[in-house]
Amino acid sequence: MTKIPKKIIYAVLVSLFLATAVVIYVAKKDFSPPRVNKVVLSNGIKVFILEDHEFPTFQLKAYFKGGDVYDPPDLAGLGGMTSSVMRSGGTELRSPADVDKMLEDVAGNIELGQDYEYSAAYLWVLKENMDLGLSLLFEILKKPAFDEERIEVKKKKWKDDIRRQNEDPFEITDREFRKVVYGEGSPWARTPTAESIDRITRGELIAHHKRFYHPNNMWIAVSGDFDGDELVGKLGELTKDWEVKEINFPEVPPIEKTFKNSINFAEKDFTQSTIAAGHFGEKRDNPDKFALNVMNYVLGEGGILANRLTREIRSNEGLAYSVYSDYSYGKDYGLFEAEAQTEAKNTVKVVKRIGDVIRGMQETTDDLKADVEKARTAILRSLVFEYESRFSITNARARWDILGLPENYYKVYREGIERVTPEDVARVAKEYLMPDKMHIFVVGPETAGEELKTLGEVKRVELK
Amino acid sequence: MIKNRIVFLALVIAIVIIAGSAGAATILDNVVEYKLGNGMKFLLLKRGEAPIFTANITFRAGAVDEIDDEAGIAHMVEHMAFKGTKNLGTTNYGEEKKILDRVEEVGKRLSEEYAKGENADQEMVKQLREELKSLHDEESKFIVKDDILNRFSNQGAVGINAATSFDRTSYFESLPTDQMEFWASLESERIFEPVFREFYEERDVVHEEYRARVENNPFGEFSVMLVEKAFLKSPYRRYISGNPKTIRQFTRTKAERFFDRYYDPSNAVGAIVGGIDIPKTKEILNKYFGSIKSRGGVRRASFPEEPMQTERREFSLTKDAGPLLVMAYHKPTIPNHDDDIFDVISTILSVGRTSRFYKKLVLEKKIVSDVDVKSAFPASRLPNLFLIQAFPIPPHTLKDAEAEIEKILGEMGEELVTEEEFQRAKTKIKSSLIWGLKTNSGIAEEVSFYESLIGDWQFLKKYESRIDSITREDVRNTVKKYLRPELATIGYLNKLQ
Repeated sequence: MTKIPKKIIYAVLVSLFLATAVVIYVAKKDFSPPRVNKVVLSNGIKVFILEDHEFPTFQLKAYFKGGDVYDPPDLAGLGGMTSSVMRSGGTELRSPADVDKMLEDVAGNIELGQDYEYSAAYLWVLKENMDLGLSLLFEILKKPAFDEERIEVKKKKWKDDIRRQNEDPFEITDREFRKVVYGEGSPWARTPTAESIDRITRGELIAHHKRFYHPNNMWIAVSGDFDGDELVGKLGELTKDWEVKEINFPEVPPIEKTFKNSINFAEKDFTQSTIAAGHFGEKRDNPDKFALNVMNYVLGEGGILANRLTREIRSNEGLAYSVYSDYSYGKDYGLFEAEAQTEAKNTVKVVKRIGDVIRGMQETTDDLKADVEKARTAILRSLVFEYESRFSITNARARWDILGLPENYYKVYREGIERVTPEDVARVAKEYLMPDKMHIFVVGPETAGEELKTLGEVKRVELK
Repeated sequence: MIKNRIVFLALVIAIVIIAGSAGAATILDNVVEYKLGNGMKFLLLKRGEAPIFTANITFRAGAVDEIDDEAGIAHMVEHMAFKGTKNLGTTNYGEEKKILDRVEEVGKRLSEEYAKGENADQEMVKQLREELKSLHDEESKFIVKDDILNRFSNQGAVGINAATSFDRTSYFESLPTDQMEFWASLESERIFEPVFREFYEERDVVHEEYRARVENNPFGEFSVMLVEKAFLKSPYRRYISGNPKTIRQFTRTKAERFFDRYYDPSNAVGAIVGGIDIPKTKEILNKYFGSIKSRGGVRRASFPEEPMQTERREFSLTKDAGPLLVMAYHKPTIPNHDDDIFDVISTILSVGRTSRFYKKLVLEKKIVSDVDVKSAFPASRLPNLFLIQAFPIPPHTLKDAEAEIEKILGEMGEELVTEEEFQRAKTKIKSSLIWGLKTNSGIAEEVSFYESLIGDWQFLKKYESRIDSITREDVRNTVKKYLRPELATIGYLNKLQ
């Protein structure tokens, strides 16, 4: 039963988090969200618990600091492969096939993955299988076996993915644009190659696991149909023999935030060009973050079509179906990126329009005042959706803790947005957006590449 | 068709949504039906603690209801539902209408010119497009851009979206509970009383979407070829997106005709799920949706019956993408019991690391990186396809994968599946309903899906017993009957060297 979604689904603003008993911004009705209970085990695991008796289910997400940025430069993919094969490669007590069978007999799921800064393990089972799920999860986390054959399967799949990584224009653009801005070898942009994957040995996976996976480096968000105190007891029991060890994080060189123009083009025989334009974003502790979020909402928040980029480039001129912008933050500098997809012959037109729309944000016009007012209202009114599920409430709380944000971050965020004025938005648009110093990346047919030369020197990007 | 190969983490949340255990049944027990005088039916469910709700309005109108010359018009109409009404999206409809009428004259002439295909007078086309542009500039004085979306998001709406499929068109969004009346007032007006303004500009957007999804997407192009090969007469052969020829010839008049015919309140199902007050909601629904007049129901065309496939079919495409193998087999649709059996078959074959395809092809032989099965492609209103997709890892070929898959299907048609994998499949299927019904939007989607499809959302409740009644013999016999090599449509997407 195929359902075809057409527009980008608006993701609830990622930076929304919930604290304890707080009255949320709903015009008429007061609502006190359920309280998340934080427990720190003696071995350092920080557990965020919220019981949920509406459904007979159990959901747990465990985080470890230690993502892709910590991969050694010549072993890009090491962390990702470690987390993946932890799941698929069996444990010291159980073969890979037995792990799969044990889980699937009860329709349970355990999956591991990671992003730039963290790795995560996700467990979901029906409540009656909670004990089985937990015991298996911790077996996987503490004593993975890294079965050789499963390593081979993973390598084959990953190399095949890489072989196929230039099929989708958005996938190409997202990947290559990061490389343009951060630098191809930067830990924040580099991607595994067939060669780097081949170089990874079982020994290295074991070492990576030993380095990062310890209870003192673990956060757990958990929600479901259980008794919180009992669960804490079980978690303590399951992790009592797990070695506490200080994590030796490799040094990640700080990013040098520079702005400069560049035009980068990759040729692919499409009839459309996919365009990315932008530069560095900001760090997540920047107090201008609230104004920047409102600014990006007005400029090009993906999914809400009533933003300036969509208005100008899609609705007014019919030039694009997809156009949006994203302003992100990281431990180090994030990314500002505007993306659009248009018929190849309109490539330069759209590139220029993006710059125009950004410039239009840098003055406190009446239009900007109106847009900022709408954006603030929309953001504030939609905050209630963070409470949609109990799991998302406790998961958000865990993430705040990892990111070093206060436990009442929900309130902090709400107040931060409330304070944003149109002048603030114009100011941050001027201070943080550089329409004249943007990196441009385009993937499209040769004609688009030719046209781009009218904007300046074009660097060819080879798609590998 | 999968455009990107993403190994879905939620292996348990299969494509099929099935009835589950006590948890799921309890949730559905609280659904309240509310039918308006004009025939529009609402399904209401109060649940959850957050003061939010998700609303989904689904029309039993999709690509299957189009005619060949207007392929893609259902999707175009969906785009138009965001353009406003006589009151919304405009500062002066009286003045605007005069321009809209002139726009339609020019638009029709442009479409007629495009209809000439290669013989179209390019100068004339250019001139007409320029005329449309200048008319749009005139009209812009009266247009309030994105009024509908702005109003929604100002009130805190999230997930404002719409989707057109072969079978149906859905409009959905989520809002804070205290915005129920606002939602009903806006939604009833903008969906049922739209003004198709900026039609020709939006037609260009739809054309860009086609470029993105089909022209520049090898998997999209491949899907189009698949349905054209597998279906000779069924409307499923006509892809939802339409094609450049039909898109270019869309006129506002044609779109309005489709709208008038199918967007009748009696042809719509509404689902509202969340922290709602049911009596109050009913009042509000009656006030805003109840006042929409029915035009007397829908005059539905009869669909040509797909002749039985009696011979194997093949097609191939070479692109800078892939390789990808597809194998498709005709099957009946819900509520035929075989459709239930296919859910079990697809789960045994492809859900999880213990599934037959994964174990044999990915883990043991390592000839593919992934295998995916859809048990009702491309949609469910009409008899459809059991679809297998496999991604061979070079140097293993499409033929290698095909041979192995046929072997597995052959075995499954001769021998009973093991009791163990059989029970495991049933457990997965039942469990997936519980997970699928944990959110407001999930519930709204599921109940409106079944209500619009077979007029019976309670099918969800009966499903568990239907699954329970299936035997291992059923599985074997169904595989043997339908999944035969000589009845397959096979597609080869070869990677350009």
